[in-house]
Amino acid sequence: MQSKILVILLLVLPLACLPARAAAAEVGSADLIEDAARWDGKTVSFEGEAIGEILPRGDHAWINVSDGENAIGCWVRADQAEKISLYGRYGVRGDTVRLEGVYHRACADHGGDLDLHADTLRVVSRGAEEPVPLSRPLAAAAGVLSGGAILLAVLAIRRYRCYNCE
Amino acid sequence: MRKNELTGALYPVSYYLGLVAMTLGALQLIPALTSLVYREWNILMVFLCTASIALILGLSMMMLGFSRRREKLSFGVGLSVSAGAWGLGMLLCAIPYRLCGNYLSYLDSCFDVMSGLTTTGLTLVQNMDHLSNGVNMWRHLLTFLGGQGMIVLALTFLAKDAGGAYTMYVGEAKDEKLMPNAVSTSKRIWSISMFYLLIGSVVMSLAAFAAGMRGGRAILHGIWIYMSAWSTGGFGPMSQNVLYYHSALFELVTVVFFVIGSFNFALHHAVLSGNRKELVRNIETVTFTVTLTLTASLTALGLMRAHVYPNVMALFRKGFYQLISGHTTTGFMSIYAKQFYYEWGDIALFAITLAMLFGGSACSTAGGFKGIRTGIIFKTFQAEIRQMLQPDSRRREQRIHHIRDIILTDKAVRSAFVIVTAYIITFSIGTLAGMLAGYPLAMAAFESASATGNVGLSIGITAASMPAFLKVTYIIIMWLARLEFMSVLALIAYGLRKVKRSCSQKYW
Repeated sequence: MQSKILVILLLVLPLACLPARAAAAEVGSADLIEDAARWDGKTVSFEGEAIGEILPRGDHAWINVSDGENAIGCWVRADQAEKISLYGRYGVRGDTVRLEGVYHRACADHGGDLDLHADTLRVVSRGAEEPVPLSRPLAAAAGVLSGGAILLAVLAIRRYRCYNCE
Repeated sequence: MRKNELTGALYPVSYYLGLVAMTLGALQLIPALTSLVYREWNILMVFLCTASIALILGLSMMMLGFSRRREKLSFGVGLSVSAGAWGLGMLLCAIPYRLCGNYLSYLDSCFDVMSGLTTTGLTLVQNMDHLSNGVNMWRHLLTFLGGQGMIVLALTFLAKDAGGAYTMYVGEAKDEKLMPNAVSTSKRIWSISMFYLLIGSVVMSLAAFAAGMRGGRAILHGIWIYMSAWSTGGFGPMSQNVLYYHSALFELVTVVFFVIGSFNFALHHAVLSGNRKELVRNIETVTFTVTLTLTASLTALGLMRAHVYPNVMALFRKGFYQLISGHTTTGFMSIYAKQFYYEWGDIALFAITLAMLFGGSACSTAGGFKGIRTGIIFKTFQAEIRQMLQPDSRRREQRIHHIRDIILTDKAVRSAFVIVTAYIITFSIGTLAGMLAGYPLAMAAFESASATGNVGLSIGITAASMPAFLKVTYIIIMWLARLEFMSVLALIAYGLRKVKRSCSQKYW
């Protein structure tokens, strides 16, 4: 009896030590676009900056995530998308997120879109507002040039009126 | 006498070029205002600087030629002014791009301006997803302006007695006379465009709301995408272009607007004046329907053989969208550029390349051969074949219907063949340049067709990293194709004559 238990333990223990799921392959957007057939239907891990805004669709949402080369559309649960606080745009660096999910080279559910259906979404680092400081030389140049343009416009209007009077 | 003609023309030329520069300067106040509203202070300063530069230059040139502005320009000089205005416009409009920090060089800035003004839509912008609202407004405004015509806008500010108005109008590849003269025709073209701008911006903004966007951003994206669709430009505010919105409705609305935008202004004028039958009788709409059906069938066949899309709906949504976007020379994309090369297969690529070359209608915002020329060539072939089969039969008059029934003259047929041949030569040169830069034939031909047809679909060649000579080649191709060759060739001839004259003066 004891030997039977030992055999069962020896068989089961290694299985228990295995991770719950095979680790998803880390991919970049270029891999997904240029080697689409290879990754189609596979679970992948993709990391990048959330850009633009959340596009809600009921209990799910679209987010677009850019790894610097291309932005990939990611289909996520609405509660997952809520973890993202900042989306990248002018003067704003969006949250960096890591998504794991199934990649589709031409998604049957979404009209053939190349997309990633995310199972998990983790915020790797928070984004931040990055205001662009006003360049003083540029402001000075703008002042001088605008003044010059207004002056010339006044001169041109005067000349035009004189011409019409004649 | 010839010398006097050339130097004498410089004053009215100066006046008209100044008018264009001033118009472009005034137009920059719109992105400046956008930057002010969104508190993009640096971008506001950039536009104040560049608007002032354009206004100073424009006003100075206008003042120089003001007293002689009513002098008539010869046909060649008028055409040269049109081409020159586009060159000057490119140089002026590229300054804000260069100063905003999203372009790696002035050449890249010039490329994007020419692409915008010619409603091509190829872009070299960096970090597009973080682009300011001011710069985005400028990009889309340029493409909207280019669709209607830079000269057409400048002419709307003129009085009816402007001497060189008509030749400049023709020089911008528009030859339809909707009204008795070029100035009132220009005003009519802009009134049609503004009418559609109002409706289109509202509808596109509603589509953006439906796609999940909110607030001012939905409205801005609605306006920009509308401007781009109507002018068959293809620019978008996000790097994924139309794919960013993940919305079938959004894509459908863009199709409606860019198809309408690709129609002849004379057709719009006729339909808006109550002649709705023209829509189904016009040679250009008939030709468009035939070539679209042909190329759409080829695309579907190619995509089915490549087994790219999992169902008919996906195949239709992706295949038909890229095709009609290419055929109307819009260039909106709902796939990634490199998917064309890696996924689509040769047949679908061939069909889209062909569609991009066919293009939209004459006197519209679209590029390519144009429907009227394709129709005329088809009619001529039809007549020739009939003549071959029945050599004894009497040669019948060939007629086409474009607003009214028109008898096809030899001159019209020759003109159609000459322009289409010029397009094919330009396309071949662009393809060769692409291959010299190291790209395979299919890629080089696709990108060249896109530049030649002023389309904007990309297979992945157009990038800031491409060789400078290829950027210059594409700039020239876009410019030549948009102005339909004649005015640029007239400008070159004008320049050569000046150089020859000054050389002979030196020696003698």
